Amino acid sequence: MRAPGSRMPRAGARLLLEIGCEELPPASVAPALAQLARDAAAALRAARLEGGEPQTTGTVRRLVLMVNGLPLRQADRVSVVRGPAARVAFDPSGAPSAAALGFARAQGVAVDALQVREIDGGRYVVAEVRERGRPASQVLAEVLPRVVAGLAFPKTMRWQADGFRFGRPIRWVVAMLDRRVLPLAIAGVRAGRATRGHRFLRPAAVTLSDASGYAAAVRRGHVVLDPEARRARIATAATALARRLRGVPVIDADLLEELVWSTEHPTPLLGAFDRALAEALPREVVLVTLQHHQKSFGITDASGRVLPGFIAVRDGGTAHLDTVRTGHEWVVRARLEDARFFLDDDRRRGFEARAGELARLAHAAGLGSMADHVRRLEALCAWLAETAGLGTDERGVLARAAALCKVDLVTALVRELPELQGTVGRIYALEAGEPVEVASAIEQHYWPRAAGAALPERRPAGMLGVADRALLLVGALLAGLEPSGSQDPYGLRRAASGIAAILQVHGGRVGLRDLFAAAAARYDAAPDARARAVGAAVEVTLQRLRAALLEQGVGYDTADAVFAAGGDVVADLVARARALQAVRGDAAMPRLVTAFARASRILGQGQPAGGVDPALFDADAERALHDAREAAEAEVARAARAGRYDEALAALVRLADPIDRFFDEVLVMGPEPRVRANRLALLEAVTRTFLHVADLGKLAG
Amino acid sequence: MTFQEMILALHRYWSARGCVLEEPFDVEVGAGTLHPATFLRALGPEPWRVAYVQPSRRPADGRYGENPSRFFKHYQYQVILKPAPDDVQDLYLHSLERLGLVLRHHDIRFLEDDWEAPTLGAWGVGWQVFLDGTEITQFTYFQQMGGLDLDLISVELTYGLERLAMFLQRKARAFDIAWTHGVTYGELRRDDERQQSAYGFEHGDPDRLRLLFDTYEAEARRLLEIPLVLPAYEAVLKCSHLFNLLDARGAVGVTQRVELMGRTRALARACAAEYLRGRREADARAGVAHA
Repeated sequence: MRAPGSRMPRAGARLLLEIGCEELPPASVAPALAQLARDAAAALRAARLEGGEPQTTGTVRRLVLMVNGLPLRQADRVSVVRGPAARVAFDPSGAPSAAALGFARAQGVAVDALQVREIDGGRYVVAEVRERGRPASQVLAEVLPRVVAGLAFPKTMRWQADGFRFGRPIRWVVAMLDRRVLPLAIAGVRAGRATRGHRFLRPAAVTLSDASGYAAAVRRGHVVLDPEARRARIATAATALARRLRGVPVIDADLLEELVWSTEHPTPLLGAFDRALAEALPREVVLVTLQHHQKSFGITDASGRVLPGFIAVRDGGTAHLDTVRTGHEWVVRARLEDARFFLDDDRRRGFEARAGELARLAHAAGLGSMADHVRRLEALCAWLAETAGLGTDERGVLARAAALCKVDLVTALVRELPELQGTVGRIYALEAGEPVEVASAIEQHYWPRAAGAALPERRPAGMLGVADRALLLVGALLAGLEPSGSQDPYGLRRAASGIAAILQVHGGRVGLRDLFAAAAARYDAAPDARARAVGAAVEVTLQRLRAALLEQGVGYDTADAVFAAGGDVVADLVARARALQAVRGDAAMPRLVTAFARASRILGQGQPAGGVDPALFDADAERALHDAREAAEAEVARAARAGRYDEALAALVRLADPIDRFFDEVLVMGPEPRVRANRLALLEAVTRTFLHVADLGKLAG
Repeated sequence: MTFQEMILALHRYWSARGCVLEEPFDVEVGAGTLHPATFLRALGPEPWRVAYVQPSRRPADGRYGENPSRFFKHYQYQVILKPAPDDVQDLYLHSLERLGLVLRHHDIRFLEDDWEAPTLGAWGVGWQVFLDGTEITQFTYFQQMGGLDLDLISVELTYGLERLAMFLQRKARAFDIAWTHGVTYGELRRDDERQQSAYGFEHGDPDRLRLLFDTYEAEARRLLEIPLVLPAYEAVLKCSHLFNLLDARGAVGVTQRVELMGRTRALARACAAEYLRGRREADARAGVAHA
């Protein structure tokens, strides 16, 4: 494949494909464009139409594919077709037989052009058939609709009787090769040369005479085609507008992304609301109301205090911007007034007093009410406090936070702004006079809110978060609700990831099996159903932990080696994986891996003795390995207890020499049965020492 | 433009585009989608265009007439276009022009929002339409109704009349909207809001409501046996509203909630299936082909 631009501009034709849609789901556009580029490249290659690298770009209303330097015809294809055996094709005088004549005719070649070749040990007549490449426009008209139909969306829809599925309805298609329109249709829409400008700024169609005029045409149509240009327009203007209030915009990355992919001509504007509202409402309430409900950025001063302004993004130009501003200000004020109404209402009703209302709130997946959940949570937290060895103060915080952590779910503010669950709990708990530690644990038990986001800062919040998720996971599994494929409606995988992430930092020696068994004990279920659910919960959590380790750069085989050696204490598994990954480049590693494999193989060939008897040694190498093993075992066990797996691995690496020497000098499977069983016992002890850390047999060479 | 002038303008506009102007359904519903002109007519292969105002009751949203934009009952303007025409977005935008909006002067956005009504076994995809930051319309391409894949895809436009009127008249409180010259929305609606909220939150009798639920459920089943699908469907709507009343009263426990919703859903699905079966039989007699 050539790099773009390596051809002279006139050396090939330019392809333009624009799929015009009703507003696509913003999060689906960038992935669709990436797939379009990938699939178009593969399809063009398969169709023998190779030019420049396909480029894609687009907006919420259009997916655009451009390819430069395409040939006007497919490359010719030469294929060799095997005919009859040579002895049948020609008579002794060398004249072609009826069989040869028939074959040549069937392949469309002259009989003189037939050749004889050795194939699979026989001599056969072959014809070289040259298939002339077809015009690119014909081939593209067949290939491109298939590429578009294959684009994946998280959710597809039908909009007409033919049953075609896409992210949103397709309303126009431009498909041109230089000046020619390609004869194709997608979802029943015939391709033409008419594109469209911005929905409101340039509603009339814009006709293209040449594919190369596309970018200029949509620019005249007030469409900012390049997502990076849209992002820059939004971010730059937002910063400049916020400066007018001597503040900075609070740019939420997800919202910025959504705005980039939900506009064609973004124009930020500055709106204002009453200072009294900014002062009366908690910062998070203002910011979330603006972000999630008005798709606007809040503004704060240097100290993080909310300023009475916001930045909304209009999809359109600057004309009549004041009208738009008035509308946004009006609805922002109404929204914030609403929030103040709910805040006052909640304050009047008190906080702890509302815990009783949890009985009316359903927990997920048929696990009873939130009140039931809180009762289970309190019991499991007590178990965790004991098992994780929390101090007296921490236990007090944990118990209190467990009792209060779900109360905010019944408040008007959380019903209005569900994104603020936990945060509202923290605010109300503080107002009710709860200690700061309890309030933070209420908020942070939902952390991490996303993969890689901040973890609970202290152990009580961490344990509360683990207990909350463990009960959900085990409860859902008991109810038979395993996540399958991409379906995980109850967020069980997310819960398992959260457990793994928190235990890594705050979990101490708590084992997953014990944790889930303690969680399962809170549910009414038959013992075998409980055991199955516990097993499944451990498995899904280990899978999530493994995935997290791979993302952190741990090799898949390193993870396999560590997990195969067993253990269910998360911090321990992580320390082992990191330590093993760190020594993967060590010069002794290949020798250790080979030695481990050799020992395992031999162990499969006989029955080791119950223990190692030094009296039965007759070679120095045996004794040396035995002594080295005992020293290493003590060292590894000590290091493992301390979680110092780098030291454990260093001790194992020191076994490489004695093991190699043992295999060089000692015949394990000797004639004398007792000596043989004793040597096998020694090897078994050596592998056991390794298994404190990892099963090296899982490591790829 | 007053509230009733808005309704008239929309009526004239959609009437000119081939819509039957239906009247509100005379059984309590939580949304215009429950009107049989939508729920049942969206099924089957027959083209259909309809527009109507539907007063929609949501007992849990009642605020005694004290909240500026929350109501026990609000008014939806509902349009069904079946099959969805290719220029449906433009048709919708033109209807806004009939309400006096100059589109270029505003910020009109189609923001992704998929719709689902589990008790109807119904879902669709589409957008919330925002006008300068105010949500004014739910725009949905139905995909399933009553658990059944649809033969023809309908588009449903649900205009929130209070929101639109507040925007057009620049009123911060819905009760200040001019219904017609000299008469406000509040004058017509506030007493009802106050009394219905008091009923929903304080004076509903849960035992009696449950008894009524059971009674209408049994009636729906009996009517489906005959089968008389349209009266059966009305009984299902009664169940749905009674459930909402019980819920607002705080009288539905967690497990019971799932159970009552499940019972309503089963009946709604049965009505959809029975309606479709009846239509197919009728069409078979008349020689109309189904997809």
